[in-house]
Amino acid sequence: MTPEHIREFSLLELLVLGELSKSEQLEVETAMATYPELKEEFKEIEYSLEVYAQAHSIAPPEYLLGNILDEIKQGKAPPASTQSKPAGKSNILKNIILGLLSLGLLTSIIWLFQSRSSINELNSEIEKEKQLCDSLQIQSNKIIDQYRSIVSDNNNRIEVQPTDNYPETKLIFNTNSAEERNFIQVDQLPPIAENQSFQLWSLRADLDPMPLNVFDESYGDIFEVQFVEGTTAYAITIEKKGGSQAPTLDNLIGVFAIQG
Amino acid sequence: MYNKYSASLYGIILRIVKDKEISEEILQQTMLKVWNKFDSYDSDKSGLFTWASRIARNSAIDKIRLKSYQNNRKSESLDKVVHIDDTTSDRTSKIDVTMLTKNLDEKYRIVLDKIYLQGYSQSDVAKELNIPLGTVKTRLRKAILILREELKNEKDLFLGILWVPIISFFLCP
Repeated sequence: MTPEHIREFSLLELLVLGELSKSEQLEVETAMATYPELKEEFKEIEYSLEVYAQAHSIAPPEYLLGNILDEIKQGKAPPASTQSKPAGKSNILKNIILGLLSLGLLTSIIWLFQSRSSINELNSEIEKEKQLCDSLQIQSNKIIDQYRSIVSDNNNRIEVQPTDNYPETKLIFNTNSAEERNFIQVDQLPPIAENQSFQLWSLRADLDPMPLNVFDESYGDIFEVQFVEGTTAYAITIEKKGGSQAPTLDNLIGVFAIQG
Repeated sequence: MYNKYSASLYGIILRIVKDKEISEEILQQTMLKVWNKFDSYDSDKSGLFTWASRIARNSAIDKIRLKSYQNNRKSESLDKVVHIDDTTSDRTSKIDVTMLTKNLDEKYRIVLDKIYLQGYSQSDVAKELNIPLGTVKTRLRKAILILREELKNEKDLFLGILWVPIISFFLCP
Protein backbone atom coordinates (compact mmCIF):
# COMPACT_ATOMS: atom_id res chain seq x y z
CA MET A 1 0.00 0.00 0.00
CA THR A 2 1.59 3.25 -1.16
CA PRO A 3 1.35 6.61 0.65
CA GLU A 4 -0.49 8.02 -2.38
CA HIS A 5 -3.11 5.29 -2.17
CA ILE A 6 -3.50 5.85 1.58
CA ARG A 7 -3.96 9.57 1.11
CA GLU A 8 -6.31 9.20 -1.86
CA PHE A 9 -8.69 7.03 0.10
CA SER A 10 -8.35 8.99 3.40
CA LEU A 11 -7.23 5.81 5.13
CA LEU A 12 -5.32 7.65 7.85
CA GLU A 13 -8.41 9.64 8.78
CA LEU A 14 -10.53 6.49 8.76
CA LEU A 15 -7.96 4.70 10.90
CA VAL A 16 -8.19 7.42 13.56
CA LEU A 17 -11.96 7.21 13.39
CA GLY A 18 -11.82 3.42 13.77
CA GLU A 19 -13.64 2.92 10.46
CA LEU A 20 -11.20 0.44 8.89
CA SER A 21 -11.46 -3.32 8.86
CA LYS A 22 -8.76 -5.29 10.71
CA SER A 23 -6.94 -6.17 7.48
CA GLU A 24 -7.05 -2.58 6.20
CA GLN A 25 -5.87 -1.36 9.58
CA LEU A 26 -2.94 -3.77 9.48
CA GLU A 27 -1.98 -2.68 5.96
CA VAL A 28 -2.04 1.00 6.90
CA GLU A 29 -0.05 0.36 10.07
CA THR A 30 2.55 -1.57 8.05
CA ALA A 31 2.78 1.30 5.58
CA MET A 32 3.21 3.76 8.46
CA ALA A 33 6.11 1.70 9.75
CA THR A 34 7.70 1.89 6.28
CA TYR A 35 6.97 5.57 5.59
CA PRO A 36 7.65 7.75 8.65
CA GLU A 37 5.96 10.73 6.96
CA LEU A 38 2.68 8.78 7.09
CA LYS A 39 3.14 8.23 10.82
CA GLU A 40 3.67 11.97 11.30
CA GLU A 41 0.57 12.69 9.27
CA PHE A 42 -1.39 10.17 11.34
CA LYS A 43 -0.30 11.88 14.56
CA GLU A 44 -1.36 15.26 13.21
CA ILE A 45 -4.79 13.86 12.31
CA GLU A 46 -5.12 12.31 15.77
CA TYR A 47 -4.22 15.60 17.41
CA SER A 48 -6.62 17.59 15.21
CA LEU A 49 -9.53 15.31 16.03
CA GLU A 50 -8.63 15.25 19.72
CA VAL A 51 -8.68 19.04 19.82
CA TYR A 52 -11.93 19.04 17.84
CA ALA A 53 -13.45 16.65 20.38
CA GLN A 54 -12.16 18.80 23.23
CA ALA A 55 -13.75 21.84 21.64
CA HIS A 56 -17.04 19.95 21.67
CA SER A 57 -16.62 18.46 25.12
CA ILE A 58 -19.47 18.28 27.60
CA ALA A 59 -18.98 17.74 31.31
CA PRO A 60 -20.39 14.43 32.51
CA PRO A 61 -22.26 14.50 35.83
CA GLU A 62 -19.96 14.66 38.83
CA TYR A 63 -21.25 11.43 40.40
CA LEU A 64 -20.14 9.40 37.37
CA LEU A 65 -16.51 9.27 38.45
CA GLY A 66 -17.58 7.89 41.85
CA ASN A 67 -19.67 5.19 40.12
CA ILE A 68 -16.76 4.17 37.92
CA LEU A 69 -14.35 4.02 40.87
CA ASP A 70 -16.87 1.97 42.89
CA GLU A 71 -17.19 -0.49 40.07
CA ILE A 72 -13.44 -0.82 39.75
CA LYS A 73 -13.13 -1.39 43.51
CA GLN A 74 -15.90 -3.98 43.47
CA GLY A 75 -13.86 -6.50 41.63
CA LYS A 76 -12.98 -5.29 38.23
CA ALA A 77 -9.40 -6.34 37.95
CA PRO A 78 -7.03 -3.47 37.46
CA PRO A 79 -4.92 -3.62 34.36
CA ALA A 80 -2.13 -6.10 34.61
CA SER A 81 0.41 -3.44 33.80
CA THR A 82 -0.37 -1.65 37.08
CA GLN A 83 -0.16 -4.82 39.15
CA SER A 84 2.93 -6.56 40.28
CA LYS A 85 2.99 -9.67 38.15
CA PRO A 86 4.59 -12.87 39.37
CA ALA A 87 7.86 -13.24 37.62
CA GLY A 88 7.56 -15.71 34.74
CA LYS A 89 10.40 -17.70 33.24
CA SER A 90 11.08 -15.03 30.67
CA ASN A 91 11.15 -12.39 33.41
CA ILE A 92 13.59 -14.44 35.49
CA LEU A 93 15.79 -14.93 32.45
CA LYS A 94 15.52 -11.23 31.65
CA ASN A 95 16.47 -10.34 35.22
CA ILE A 96 19.42 -12.76 35.16
CA ILE A 97 20.68 -11.28 31.87
CA LEU A 98 20.13 -7.78 33.21
CA GLY A 99 21.97 -8.70 36.42
CA LEU A 100 24.88 -10.24 34.50
CA LEU A 101 25.10 -7.22 32.24
CA SER A 102 25.08 -4.89 35.26
CA LEU A 103 27.75 -7.02 36.95
CA GLY A 104 29.81 -7.00 33.76
CA LEU A 105 29.48 -3.25 33.50
CA LEU A 106 30.45 -2.80 37.15
CA THR A 107 33.46 -5.12 36.76
CA SER A 108 34.56 -3.25 33.63
CA ILE A 109 34.34 0.08 35.46
CA ILE A 110 36.33 -1.25 38.42
CA TRP A 111 38.88 -2.82 36.06
CA LEU A 112 39.13 0.45 34.18
CA PHE A 113 39.77 2.41 37.37
CA GLN A 114 42.31 -0.16 38.57
CA SER A 115 44.05 -0.11 35.20
CA ARG A 116 44.19 3.65 35.26
CA SER A 117 45.60 3.54 38.78
CA SER A 118 48.20 0.92 37.75
CA ILE A 119 49.13 2.96 34.70
CA ASN A 120 49.61 6.02 36.91
CA GLU A 121 51.78 4.01 39.31
CA LEU A 122 53.81 2.63 36.42
CA ASN A 123 54.22 6.11 34.95
CA SER A 124 55.43 7.32 38.34
CA GLU A 125 57.92 4.41 38.54
CA ILE A 126 59.12 5.10 35.01
CA GLU A 127 59.63 8.77 35.89
CA LYS A 128 61.66 7.82 39.00
CA GLU A 129 63.77 5.36 36.98
CA LYS A 130 64.30 7.99 34.34
CA GLN A 131 65.49 10.50 36.94
CA LEU A 132 67.81 7.88 38.43
CA CYS A 133 69.11 7.04 34.98
CA ASP A 134 69.73 10.75 34.26
CA SER A 135 71.51 11.12 37.58
CA LEU A 136 73.70 8.05 36.88
CA GLN A 137 74.43 9.38 33.43
CA ILE A 138 75.60 12.70 34.92
CA GLN A 139 77.75 10.90 37.49
CA SER A 140 79.12 8.60 34.83
CA ASN A 141 79.97 11.54 32.57
CA LYS A 142 81.61 13.25 35.54
CA ILE A 143 83.72 10.19 36.33
CA ILE A 144 84.69 9.79 32.67
CA ASP A 145 85.61 13.45 32.57
CA GLN A 146 87.68 13.16 35.76
CA TYR A 147 89.36 10.03 34.46
CA ARG A 148 90.14 11.70 31.12
CA SER A 149 91.64 14.68 32.95
CA ILE A 150 93.68 12.50 35.31
CA VAL A 151 95.09 10.22 32.63
CA SER A 152 95.95 13.07 30.31
CA ASP A 153 99.59 14.04 29.76
CA ASN A 154 98.99 17.39 31.45
CA ASN A 155 98.10 15.79 34.74
CA ASN A 156 100.66 15.85 37.57
CA ARG A 157 100.20 13.03 40.06
CA ILE A 158 101.51 13.87 43.53
CA GLU A 159 101.66 11.36 46.34
CA VAL A 160 101.05 13.26 49.58
CA GLN A 161 103.64 12.63 52.25
CA PRO A 162 101.84 12.70 55.60
CA THR A 163 103.20 14.39 58.73
CA ASP A 164 104.26 12.34 61.71
CA ASN A 165 100.91 13.04 63.39
CA TYR A 166 98.99 11.22 60.65
CA PRO A 167 101.28 8.57 59.18
CA GLU A 168 98.41 6.30 58.11
CA THR A 169 97.24 8.84 55.54
CA LYS A 170 97.40 7.77 51.90
CA LEU A 171 96.35 10.46 49.38
CA ILE A 172 97.12 11.24 45.76
CA PHE A 173 96.76 14.81 44.56
CA ASN A 174 96.19 15.23 40.81
CA THR A 175 96.70 18.65 39.30
CA ASN A 176 96.18 19.50 35.64
CA SER A 177 97.50 22.99 34.98
CA ALA A 178 96.44 22.94 31.34
CA GLU A 179 92.80 22.36 32.30
CA GLU A 180 93.23 24.19 35.67
CA ARG A 181 91.64 21.31 37.55
CA ASN A 182 92.62 19.49 40.76
CA PHE A 183 91.48 16.10 42.07
CA ILE A 184 92.05 14.36 45.38
CA GLN A 185 92.27 10.59 45.24
CA VAL A 186 91.67 9.06 48.69
CA ASP A 187 93.14 5.77 49.70
CA GLN A 188 93.09 6.29 53.44
CA LEU A 189 92.31 9.26 55.68
CA PRO A 190 93.02 9.58 59.43
CA PRO A 191 90.01 9.25 61.73
CA ILE A 192 88.38 12.55 62.78
CA ALA A 193 85.72 13.55 65.29
CA GLU A 194 82.14 14.24 64.21
CA ASN A 195 82.66 17.96 64.66
CA GLN A 196 85.69 18.01 62.39
CA SER A 197 86.37 18.15 58.66
CA PHE A 198 89.36 17.98 56.37
CA GLN A 199 90.30 21.20 54.59
CA LEU A 200 92.51 21.99 51.59
CA TRP A 201 94.65 25.10 51.53
CA SER A 202 96.43 27.00 48.74
CA LEU A 203 99.88 28.26 49.64
CA ARG A 204 101.31 31.07 47.53
CA ALA A 205 104.48 33.11 47.98
CA ASP A 206 104.16 36.06 50.34
CA LEU A 207 100.49 35.43 50.90
CA ASP A 208 98.46 33.92 53.71
CA PRO A 209 97.16 30.42 53.15
CA MET A 210 93.91 30.51 51.19
CA PRO A 211 91.14 28.26 52.53
CA LEU A 212 89.78 25.94 49.86
CA ASN A 213 87.49 22.88 49.90
CA VAL A 214 86.21 21.28 53.09
CA PHE A 215 85.62 17.52 52.76
CA ASP A 216 85.24 14.28 54.64
CA GLU A 217 85.14 10.55 53.90
CA SER A 218 81.70 10.76 52.38
CA TYR A 219 83.14 12.54 49.32
CA GLY A 220 84.25 9.17 47.92
CA ASP A 221 87.45 7.83 46.47
CA ILE A 222 88.11 10.65 44.06
CA PHE A 223 86.67 14.15 43.85
CA GLU A 224 87.46 17.46 42.28
CA VAL A 225 88.76 20.39 44.35
CA GLN A 226 89.49 24.03 43.60
CA PHE A 227 92.42 25.05 41.38
CA VAL A 228 94.14 28.34 42.27
CA GLU A 229 96.47 29.95 39.80
CA GLY A 230 99.93 30.72 41.27
CA THR A 231 99.73 28.12 44.00
CA THR A 232 103.15 26.82 44.87
CA ALA A 233 101.94 24.17 47.29
CA TYR A 234 98.72 22.80 48.71
CA ALA A 235 98.17 21.64 52.28
CA ILE A 236 95.51 19.55 54.03
CA THR A 237 94.58 20.06 57.68
CA ILE A 238 91.94 18.87 60.11
CA GLU A 239 89.66 21.75 61.06
CA LYS A 240 86.44 22.31 62.85
CA LYS A 241 83.38 21.14 60.91
CA GLY A 242 82.68 23.52 58.07
CA GLY A 243 86.27 24.70 57.80
CA SER A 244 88.39 27.60 59.06
CA GLN A 245 89.84 30.80 57.66
CA ALA A 246 93.34 29.99 58.94
CA PRO A 247 94.90 26.54 59.08
CA THR A 248 95.42 24.78 62.43
CA LEU A 249 99.02 23.82 62.07
CA ASP A 250 98.87 21.25 64.91
CA ASN A 251 96.44 19.29 62.72
CA LEU A 252 98.47 19.44 59.53
CA ILE A 253 98.17 16.20 57.58
CA GLY A 254 100.51 17.06 54.75
CA VAL A 255 101.96 19.73 52.44
CA PHE A 256 102.77 18.99 48.81
CA ALA A 257 104.47 21.29 46.35
CA ILE A 258 103.26 21.82 42.80
CA GLN A 259 105.92 21.49 40.22
CA GLY A 260 106.41 23.88 37.37
CA MET B 1 -7.26 10.04 32.33
CA TYR B 2 -10.87 10.58 33.46
CA ASN B 3 -10.20 14.23 34.21
CA LYS B 4 -8.46 14.74 30.92
CA TYR B 5 -10.68 12.87 28.51
CA SER B 6 -14.11 12.21 30.06
CA ALA B 7 -15.69 15.46 28.85
CA SER B 8 -14.43 15.00 25.29
CA LEU B 9 -15.66 11.41 25.22
CA TYR B 10 -18.97 12.33 26.82
CA GLY B 11 -19.44 15.05 24.19
CA ILE B 12 -19.03 12.47 21.42
CA ILE B 13 -21.22 9.84 23.09
CA LEU B 14 -24.02 12.27 23.89
CA ARG B 15 -24.09 13.54 20.32
CA ILE B 16 -24.39 9.98 19.03
CA VAL B 17 -26.98 8.56 21.41
CA LYS B 18 -28.71 11.86 22.26
CA ASP B 19 -29.71 10.61 25.70
CA LYS B 20 -28.01 11.67 28.91
CA GLU B 21 -28.65 8.51 30.95
CA ILE B 22 -27.53 6.18 28.20
CA SER B 23 -24.54 8.40 27.49
CA GLU B 24 -23.51 8.18 31.13
CA GLU B 25 -23.79 4.40 30.99
CA ILE B 26 -21.70 4.28 27.83
CA LEU B 27 -19.07 6.61 29.27
CA GLN B 28 -18.90 4.42 32.36
CA GLN B 29 -18.53 1.29 30.22
CA THR B 30 -15.89 3.00 28.12
CA MET B 31 -13.84 3.98 31.15
CA LEU B 32 -14.07 0.46 32.57
CA LYS B 33 -13.03 -1.04 29.23
CA VAL B 34 -10.07 1.32 29.10
CA TRP B 35 -9.17 0.30 32.66
CA ASN B 36 -9.52 -3.42 32.06
CA LYS B 37 -8.02 -3.59 28.60
CA PHE B 38 -5.17 -1.22 29.17
CA ASP B 39 -2.72 -4.07 28.56
CA SER B 40 -3.87 -4.33 24.98
CA TYR B 41 -3.29 -0.64 24.32
CA ASP B 42 -0.32 -0.10 22.01
CA SER B 43 0.99 3.44 22.14
CA ASP B 44 2.97 2.82 18.94
CA LYS B 45 -0.24 2.34 17.03
CA SER B 46 -2.31 5.25 18.31
CA GLY B 47 -2.61 7.91 20.94
CA LEU B 48 -4.50 7.16 24.14
CA PHE B 49 -7.36 9.48 23.26
CA THR B 50 -7.73 7.94 19.79
CA TRP B 51 -7.92 4.49 21.38
CA ALA B 52 -10.41 5.55 24.05
CA SER B 53 -12.54 7.52 21.58
CA ARG B 54 -12.79 4.50 19.26
CA ILE B 55 -14.11 2.44 22.19
CA ALA B 56 -16.57 5.19 23.10
CA ARG B 57 -17.77 5.74 19.52
CA ASN B 58 -18.14 2.03 18.80
CA SER B 59 -20.03 1.44 22.05
CA ALA B 60 -22.34 4.36 21.30
CA ILE B 61 -22.88 3.30 17.69
CA ASP B 62 -23.54 -0.30 18.78
CA LYS B 63 -26.10 1.04 21.23
CA ILE B 64 -28.09 3.08 18.73
CA ARG B 65 -28.13 0.17 16.29
CA LEU B 66 -29.91 -2.05 18.82
CA LYS B 67 -33.56 -2.58 17.97
CA SER B 68 -34.54 -2.19 21.61
CA TYR B 69 -32.92 1.22 21.67
CA GLN B 70 -34.65 2.30 18.48
CA ASN B 71 -38.05 1.12 19.76
CA ASN B 72 -37.59 2.94 23.06
CA ARG B 73 -36.65 6.12 21.25
CA LYS B 74 -39.85 6.01 19.25
CA SER B 75 -41.99 5.69 22.37
CA GLU B 76 -40.17 8.43 24.32
CA SER B 77 -41.34 11.96 24.43
CA LEU B 78 -39.37 14.42 22.35
CA ASP B 79 -38.33 16.52 25.35
CA LYS B 80 -36.07 13.71 26.60
CA VAL B 81 -34.02 13.92 23.45
CA VAL B 82 -31.01 16.03 24.04
CA HIS B 83 -30.33 18.73 21.56
CA ILE B 84 -26.76 19.79 21.53
CA ASP B 85 -25.23 22.70 19.74
CA ASP B 86 -22.09 24.70 20.31
CA THR B 87 -23.83 26.97 22.79
CA THR B 88 -24.78 24.13 25.15
CA SER B 89 -24.19 25.34 28.70
CA ASP B 90 -22.59 22.03 29.78
CA ARG B 91 -19.72 22.55 27.44
CA THR B 92 -16.48 22.66 29.41
CA SER B 93 -13.85 23.25 26.78
CA LYS B 94 -11.61 26.28 26.88
CA ILE B 95 -11.13 25.86 23.15
CA ASP B 96 -13.25 28.21 21.13
CA VAL B 97 -15.12 26.18 18.51
CA THR B 98 -15.82 29.27 16.46
CA MET B 99 -12.14 30.15 16.31
CA LEU B 100 -11.13 26.59 15.59
CA THR B 101 -13.61 26.22 12.76
CA LYS B 102 -13.43 29.76 11.37
CA ASN B 103 -11.80 28.53 8.18
CA LEU B 104 -13.89 25.38 8.04
CA ASP B 105 -16.54 25.75 5.41
CA GLU B 106 -20.01 24.59 6.52
CA LYS B 107 -20.10 21.79 3.93
CA TYR B 108 -16.92 20.30 5.39
CA ARG B 109 -17.89 20.86 9.01
CA ILE B 110 -21.23 19.06 8.62
CA VAL B 111 -19.55 15.96 7.22
CA LEU B 112 -16.93 15.94 9.99
CA ASP B 113 -19.52 16.47 12.73
CA LYS B 114 -21.81 13.76 11.43
CA ILE B 115 -19.08 11.17 11.07
CA TYR B 116 -16.85 11.99 14.04
CA LEU B 117 -19.23 13.42 16.59
CA GLN B 118 -22.51 11.80 15.66
CA GLY B 119 -21.41 8.33 14.63
CA TYR B 120 -22.71 8.38 11.06
CA SER B 121 -21.14 6.09 8.52
CA GLN B 122 -19.89 7.71 5.32
CA SER B 123 -22.75 6.06 3.39
CA ASP B 124 -25.30 7.42 5.84
CA VAL B 125 -23.91 10.93 5.38
CA ALA B 126 -24.00 10.52 1.61
CA LYS B 127 -27.66 9.49 1.81
CA GLU B 128 -28.69 12.18 4.26
CA LEU B 129 -26.93 14.99 2.44
CA ASN B 130 -27.74 13.47 -0.93
CA ILE B 131 -24.18 13.69 -2.19
CA PRO B 132 -21.94 11.00 -3.69
CA LEU B 133 -19.90 8.83 -1.32
CA GLY B 134 -16.71 10.07 -2.98
CA THR B 135 -17.66 13.64 -2.12
CA VAL B 136 -18.22 12.65 1.51
CA LYS B 137 -14.74 11.15 1.63
CA THR B 138 -13.18 14.19 -0.01
CA ARG B 139 -14.98 16.58 2.33
CA LEU B 140 -14.02 14.57 5.41
CA ARG B 141 -10.38 14.61 4.38
CA LYS B 142 -10.54 18.31 3.52
CA ALA B 143 -12.19 19.13 6.87
CA ILE B 144 -9.45 17.38 8.83
CA LEU B 145 -6.78 18.98 6.64
CA ILE B 146 -8.17 22.47 7.39
CA LEU B 147 -8.18 21.66 11.12
CA ARG B 148 -4.58 20.49 10.93
CA GLU B 149 -3.57 23.70 9.18
CA GLU B 150 -5.45 25.77 11.73
CA LEU B 151 -3.75 24.04 14.64
CA LYS B 152 -0.35 24.32 12.96
CA ASN B 153 -0.84 28.07 12.54
CA GLU B 154 -1.86 28.42 16.19
CA LYS B 155 1.19 26.43 17.24
CA ASP B 156 3.50 28.61 15.11
CA LEU B 157 1.86 31.72 16.55
CA PHE B 158 2.31 30.39 20.08
CA LEU B 159 5.96 29.61 19.45
CA GLY B 160 6.37 33.07 17.92
CA ILE B 161 4.85 34.70 21.00
CA LEU B 162 7.05 32.55 23.20
CA TRP B 163 10.15 34.01 21.58
CA VAL B 164 9.15 37.59 22.42
CA PRO B 165 9.98 37.46 26.17
CA ILE B 166 13.11 35.38 25.48
CA ILE B 167 14.42 37.87 22.93
CA SER B 168 13.36 40.77 25.21
CA PHE B 169 15.27 39.21 28.08
CA PHE B 170 18.49 39.10 26.07
CA LEU B 171 18.02 42.50 24.44
CA CYS B 172 16.87 44.35 27.56
CA PRO B 173 18.33 42.53 30.55
